[in-house]
Amino acid sequence: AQENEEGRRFGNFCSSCHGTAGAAVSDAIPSIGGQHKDFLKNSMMDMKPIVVDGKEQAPKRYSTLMKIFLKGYSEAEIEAMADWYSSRPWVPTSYPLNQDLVAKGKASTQLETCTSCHGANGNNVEDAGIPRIGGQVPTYLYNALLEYKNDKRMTERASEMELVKEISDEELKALAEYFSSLK
Amino acid sequence: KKTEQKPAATQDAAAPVAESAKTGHTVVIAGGGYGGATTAKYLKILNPAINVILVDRNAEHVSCAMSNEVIFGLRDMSEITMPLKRLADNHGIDFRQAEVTGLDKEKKVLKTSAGDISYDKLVVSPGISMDYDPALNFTEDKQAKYPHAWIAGKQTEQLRDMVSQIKAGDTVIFRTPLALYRCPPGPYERACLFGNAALKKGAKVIVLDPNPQIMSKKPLFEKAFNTTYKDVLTYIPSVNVTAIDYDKKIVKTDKGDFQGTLINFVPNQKAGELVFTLGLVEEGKKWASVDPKTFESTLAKDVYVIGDAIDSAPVTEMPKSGTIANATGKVVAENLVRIFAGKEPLVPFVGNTCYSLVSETEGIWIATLYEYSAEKNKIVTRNGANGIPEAASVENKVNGHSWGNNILIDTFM
Ligand SMILES: Cc1cc2nc3c(=O)[nH]c(=O)nc-3n(C[C@H](O)[C@H](O)[C@H](O)COP(=O)(O)OP(=O)(O)OC[C@H]3O[C@@H](n4cnc5c(N)ncnc54)[C@H](O)[C@@H]3O)c2cc1C
Ligand code: HEC
Ligand code: HEC
Repeated sequence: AQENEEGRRFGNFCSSCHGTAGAAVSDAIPSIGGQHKDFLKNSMMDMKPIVVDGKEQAPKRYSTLMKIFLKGYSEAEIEAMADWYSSRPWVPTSYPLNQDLVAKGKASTQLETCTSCHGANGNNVEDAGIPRIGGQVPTYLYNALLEYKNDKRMTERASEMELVKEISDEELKALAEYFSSLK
Repeated sequence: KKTEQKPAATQDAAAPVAESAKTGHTVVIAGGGYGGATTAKYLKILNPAINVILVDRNAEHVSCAMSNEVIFGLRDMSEITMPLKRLADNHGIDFRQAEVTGLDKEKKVLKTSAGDISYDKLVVSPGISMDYDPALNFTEDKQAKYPHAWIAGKQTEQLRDMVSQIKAGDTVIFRTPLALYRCPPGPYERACLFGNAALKKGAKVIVLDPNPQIMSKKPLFEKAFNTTYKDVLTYIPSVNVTAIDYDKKIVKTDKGDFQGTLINFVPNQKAGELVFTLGLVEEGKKWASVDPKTFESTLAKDVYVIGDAIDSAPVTEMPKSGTIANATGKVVAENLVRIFAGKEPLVPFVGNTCYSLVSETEGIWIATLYEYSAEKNKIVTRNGANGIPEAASVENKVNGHSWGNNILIDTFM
């Protein structure tokens, strides 16, 4: 298929952090290549500071530095990048995982609820607004769960992640490690 | 058909030859660091039919980014040592280990210690070289004894070993380079890590900065100097070193003499010698002039210069960083592919981040988005997208470590 060349042009430098074509090799910065398009676009729009009446508002979603870059892009440009990155292959992480934690996550009584939305392999292709988490990098997944738990992601669909507030950090870490291990 | 000398020793797989026959286009890249390696890889990703020849004097590129971590024992040398043959094998690049020695820009031939190489387009990314002040009498044996470690490699290991010997009561004298130099926050990261070592060992650090102030992420480094390291580190700006007594380890300056046990003197810098050799530097200048729309040399057609070696001040606000060398490598690769396909090149659009450590546990960053502005004929910050964090954090250290691993792979694998 034809690549979205606009998206590539606006987003090619991002690979210095997110890995070539968005396939991250380390543990803390997420893979974005092959992520679902709607979620990619939503996540970026949610981290982008919006200006209302000349005043910059705090974005709905917490980020350390993505807010800086996203300030520089229009919605159409973000859409183009989401289109391009979602068309790249998803490369499950090969980062060395803690197998004890993976086993604990697999045994979690919460797992079935997670997979009811995210799919058994962490890749629900029916709803592009639900992120792909199977094979995502481990430290990032855990941080993301803590962000929902601590109200740092006040996004449109964050309510669907409410359940994490009832789950201990320890169990969330195990679930994150388990989802990372999926291919 | 171009005649191209291939020395037997580097006559690799036949694949590149067959591919060049397909398009007839050859891109030669001089320098396999952040700029050159990225350009080679992305040319092949975008159009595998282009014949890409990468030339570097070393079989392995040692990354300067993250080399401060190696010096202070936070990463291993092997993590930043990148074999160029691995990159070449992964992408069908023709790698030749050779010294680049000259250019015939009329005939479009690059001269190397392994023979002449014809090109359609030449990309040059040789990094920096040192601009030693003759008054300081930095002879070759002095250079060997006083590693600057501002070009990574053996000197990185040498300085690491010197740092590991720091004892209670020692004084480190660290002289930062005068702007323009590679990696604006790099000297202040190193100063913090000297401070960290001094705290652990009961030593002291004197930072002698010829610049009027901290040159990058100022409030964040200033905070580290004034809080974390306030008892062990003295920062002196606007100071000129006038002489060094190498035997007594005394650094003489216009603000007094300083005696130390470890002297780390980072000299002022200019473009890599190679761009001078190739005739890509205007009379009286220290850096290679380029057209900001394309990175094409103003002195040689079909020759592009990227990375630290460019004369950045007149054409861009971008820093001399590995991230920028990587990002501009992608821009040039994309544009060469477009030009070969008969399309117009696109103006540069890139982003920069430099993560730095302020201690073993906390990191900071600077992030900026840049785009070419026709009005200013300059590559400038886009829509005010530029910033630094409010404070140093563990999270930024962890993300910075991930960034390092990801950019090494994005560039060298
Ligand atoms: C201590 C320190 C920390 C840094 N930290 C960061 C950081 O955190 N983030 C960041 O983005 N940047 C960082 N940098 C800056 C970064 O390393 C440089 O900006 C980057 O390496 C520039 O890339 P380049 O392609 O211009 O040159 P280089 O990467 O230096 O590559 C030049 C290559 O050309 C080859 N070469 C030169 N001349 C010849 C010749 N005549 N023949 C054959 N080969 C030749 C060399 O062998 C080398 O491999 C740091 C630098 C230092 C010193
Ligand atoms: C210097 C590093 C860096 C660069 C460059 C960078 N990112 Fe990020 N990205 C991050 C980090 C770190 C996060 C986690 C959020 C945060 O802390 O900012 C992130 C998060 C994201 C997410 C959210 C993913 C998810 O699963 O929720 C997307 C999408 C994204 N980045 C896209 C991009 C695009 C597109 C670019 C280029 C325009 C880019 N990034 C450039 C570091 C970077
Ligand atoms: C009712 C549906 C639903 C359930 C149940 C659910 N999720 Fe989610 N999840 C979502 C949606 C929707 C998002 C995206 C929300 C947004 O846009 O911020 C999301 C986001 C995430 C993210 C962020 C990924 C990223 O790349 O930023 C992670 C990690 C995650 N979920 C893991 C889990 C885990 C683990 C569980 C079970 C404990 C779980 N989810 C249960 C719907 C659900």
